[in-house]
Amino acid sequence: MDSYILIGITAFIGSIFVGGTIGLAKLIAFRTPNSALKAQPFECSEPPIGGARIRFKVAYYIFALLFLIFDIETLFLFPCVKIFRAVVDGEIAGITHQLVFLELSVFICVLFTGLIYAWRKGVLVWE
Amino acid sequence: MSDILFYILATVLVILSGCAVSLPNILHSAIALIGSFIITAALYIMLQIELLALAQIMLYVGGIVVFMLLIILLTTGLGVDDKLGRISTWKWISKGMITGLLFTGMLYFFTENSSSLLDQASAKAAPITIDQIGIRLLSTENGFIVPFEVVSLLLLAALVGAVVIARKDAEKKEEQS
Repeated sequence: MDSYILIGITAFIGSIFVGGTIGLAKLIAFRTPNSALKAQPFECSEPPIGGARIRFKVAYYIFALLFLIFDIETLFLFPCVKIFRAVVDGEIAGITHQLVFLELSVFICVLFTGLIYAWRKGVLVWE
Repeated sequence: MSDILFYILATVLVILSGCAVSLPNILHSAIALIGSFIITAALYIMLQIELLALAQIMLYVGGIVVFMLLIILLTTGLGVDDKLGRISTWKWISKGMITGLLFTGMLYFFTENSSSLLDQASAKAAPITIDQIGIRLLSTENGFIVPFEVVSLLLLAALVGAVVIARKDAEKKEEQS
């Protein structure tokens, strides 16, 4: 529980850094009224074509889906991996490290089949 | 100390959830949703359910909200939705009052008629560490070894389904072009 409090304090300090920077900039920055000149790009020196909010490629979507599935896989693997050291040391009765290795291998292999399927179907090809 | 922390977190959670449903810009709503998910994870940590907090951060913040942001960016509906602005203040107040009354009634009912079932459930809900879950997942006797393997099959089915749906879109596109 104490380590979580540390994480919370770190997050709080981080938010103060971000919020403080933005707030301080608002307070002390010199501001001119908005104008068309101000909205111009000033680094690439090219006039923009079209809006900045464009549609994204649909190809991102399937990658996000695949990521989500392997994310869930990681979540299930995490508790098993966390106890692996204790299993190898023989501290947990009833579980041998061969069993853990076999189980996790089967688990990963089944999901890897799916990845190979997606690969073979050409979903991962970036067009 | 932990009571005060809970009330602070709960207040922030309610505010962020309200933002998530009421902000006119859908992108801002999604970002408010990220915040409310993180606060929910913090509440799980306060209840000492570590794996659930991990799942909340990894799946919801890291996966599903990113996924939702992608969907928002894929569609053009990025502009400000003025439908919410058209709802009159009177409607906001009346609907809020109805919801508030229903919620208060429900709260009153459950606190006054606390059932034995609820008491038993809250007594049983002891904190579980990730190690304990790992041991239960992997042990052959009195464990969840078969469900653990079946989960991989379920995920495989989801993966194949995603691929099939994505392929359908690609085929349609080819037909159109």
